[in-house]
Amino acid sequence: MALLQITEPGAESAPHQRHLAAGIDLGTTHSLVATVRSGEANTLPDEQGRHILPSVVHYAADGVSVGHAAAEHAADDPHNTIASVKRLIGRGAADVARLSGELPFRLKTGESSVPRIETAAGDKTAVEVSADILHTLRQRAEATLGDELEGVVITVPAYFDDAQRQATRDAAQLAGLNVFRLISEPTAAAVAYGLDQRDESTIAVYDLGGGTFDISILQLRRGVFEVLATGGDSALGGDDIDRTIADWLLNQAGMGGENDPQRLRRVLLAARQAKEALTDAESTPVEVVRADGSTWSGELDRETLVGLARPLLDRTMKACQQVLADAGLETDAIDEVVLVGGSTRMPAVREAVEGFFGRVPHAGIDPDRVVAIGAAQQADILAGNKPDTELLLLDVIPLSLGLETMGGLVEFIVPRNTTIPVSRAQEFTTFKDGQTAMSLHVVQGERDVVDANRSLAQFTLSGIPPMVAGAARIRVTFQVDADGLLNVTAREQTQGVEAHIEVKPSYGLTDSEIEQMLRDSASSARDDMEARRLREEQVEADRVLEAIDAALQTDGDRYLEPEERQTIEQARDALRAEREKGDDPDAIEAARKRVEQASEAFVARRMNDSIRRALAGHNVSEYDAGN
Amino acid sequence: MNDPFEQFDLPVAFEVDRQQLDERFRRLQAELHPDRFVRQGDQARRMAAAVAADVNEAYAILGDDYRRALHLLERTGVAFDPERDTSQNIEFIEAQIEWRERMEEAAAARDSAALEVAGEELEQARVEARAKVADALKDPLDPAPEAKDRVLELRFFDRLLDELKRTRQNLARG
Repeated sequence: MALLQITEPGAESAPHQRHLAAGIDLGTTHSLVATVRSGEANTLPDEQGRHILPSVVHYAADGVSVGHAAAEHAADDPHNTIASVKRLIGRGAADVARLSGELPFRLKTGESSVPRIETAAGDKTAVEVSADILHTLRQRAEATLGDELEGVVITVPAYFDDAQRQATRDAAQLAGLNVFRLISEPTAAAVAYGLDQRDESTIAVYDLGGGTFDISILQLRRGVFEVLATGGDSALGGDDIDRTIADWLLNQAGMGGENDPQRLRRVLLAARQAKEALTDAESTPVEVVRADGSTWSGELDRETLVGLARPLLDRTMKACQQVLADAGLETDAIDEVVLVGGSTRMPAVREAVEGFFGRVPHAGIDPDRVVAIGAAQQADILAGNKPDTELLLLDVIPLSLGLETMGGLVEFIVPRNTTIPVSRAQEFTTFKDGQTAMSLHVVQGERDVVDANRSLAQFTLSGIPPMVAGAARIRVTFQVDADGLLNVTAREQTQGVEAHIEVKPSYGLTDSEIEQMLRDSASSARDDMEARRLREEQVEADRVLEAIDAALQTDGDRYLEPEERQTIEQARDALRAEREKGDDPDAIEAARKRVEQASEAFVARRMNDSIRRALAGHNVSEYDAGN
Repeated sequence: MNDPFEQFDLPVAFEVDRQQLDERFRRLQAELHPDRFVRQGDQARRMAAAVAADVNEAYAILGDDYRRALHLLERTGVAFDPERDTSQNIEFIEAQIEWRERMEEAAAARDSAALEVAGEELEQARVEARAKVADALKDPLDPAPEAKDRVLELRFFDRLLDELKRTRQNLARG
């Protein structure tokens, strides 16, 4: 890796200097990985040329398979074939129990707060299953690009709460991926169509996948994407249309009572093929083989298909109506409509959407790939491959964050749609005389009553000096980072007692659990824990070296006294030496920390100056170009 | 946290130039958002997140009439407990009760036409309340004695309008 990388503003970086980054759409039924090459974002196929990876993992006693190979086991080994794991990620035992009726695998909720799925290869959490899918995509990207990925952007549904986002990040960590950023799926789709370049618009994203339907209303204002409302139906998708067509075929062929699973699967396949054929054709021949070996053949035309799909389409339109009401908007307030999900290829769906919103939807990009493509574009920018772009995606927090107060009510600290990152504090006091501890219950949701919201974490601030009720001043600070992940700190102001928590225990996994998984997981067994830790430290060291060299070159003379500069350079040289030696992760880490410590004031001065420059109306590239 | 006006290099006043505020916010975020530092190591990223959070908060304060007015009062040392203080103006307290009753009755009767009319009148009343705040804060370094009550009154209208919006959405949802 090059250590000095100061590109001329606006100059195209040479291909070998590109930073490898990818966008990942981690979907309920299928997943994709995309990357920007020669200025164009595209999804990456596997060796057989297939872009879509079914989000299915098969855990056999003798090995793990992911994707198409795993999906083949769905019929013969359903208990060990995990599909739709996205429905479980970041969920607690109670939610999972509610969902378990719909899912074919065996769940263990037992002692741990994180539910586990029983498989022939041991108990698996949703995080581990997702990590296996991500690992496969990572391998595909690295095989295609010929080197390790520096980082990825992963998409999540707009309605994902803190626990679900944290769990997704955990899965990425387990798969050995550096996450630049999590962005919401509808935002990624809007980015793919370049809608983020407009100043102001209200965008509806209609996402009809295989098994889920999501409708999101986004408002873009001054570079900030706000999610005004989301809705949909988690049990409605293209698969339901296939089943409806299959029922029609069975009826036509006089096979109403058919129950042979193999024949039913063939009919379902014929139904799907007919549906896909009708995307371009007005009519298509269909054939079904009966139990006695005779064949029924007929025609399915588009009009019949529309009739069959109508009840399902009506359900999606009802959800659209609902979400508009939630957003407090009429249909004419929608400026842009974006189609996502393979099922939106059906002309009937496009017509219905166009009819409902009264405008032609964006559909030029393959609706299966559009989310991954938008994520790849964002990853490319974050990787620094477009140094001249000022484009920035500002996100908001999707659901309000608060604390439980007296009587099971919620005191909201960070309301929904607050631009992140954000830090907000509020003071609380004690309820009883002499109270020395305070229990804090962090919740997320929009309801005033604690029980109606999602419980995120509980922790205790102890060691409060005894005082009369109401005298203590406890300042609780909520910090939400750019990915929407929460950190809560509580501090007693008079004595300075402090407690803090990174919010994940009730639904996510603790750091030590993740470490354990890293050790256990098949992927890390292959590339050995120590080697991996060393590699991570090397990458981080390279990042710091590159950044400090660039900073010294452009701003060293301006902000540093000669002796300050010397201290930084010494620490830097020590880090570079340790990095070159390259065998001791602890030594590299220690050397890196020394560089960071030595340069803290320098970094702060540069940052302050950035503020000054931004306000003075110069952007960095102009400024740097003038020097 | 720094003073939001200072952070955005804007004159200390109740009225802000919205366009200028937005423009500066965009420029600041373009420089400081942690996304700009993803390849510069954890330390720079953490520092950027802290500064960006500050900028976001300052923007939220400057962009909201009530929060900006509250900040102007606090900066001149007027004691304020936003959770407990209410306007001491008897006439206003009476008006407040009337507004609430009117909303509750219309909501209970699911009378969306009445809610719409009330909403329009409420908007108008808010415009007047805002003008009074602007007047009381004409000299932001020396607010009029009644400024605190005026600011609390503005907050009442903001909150009631919020509630009204939710009520109407719930009605539309059926």
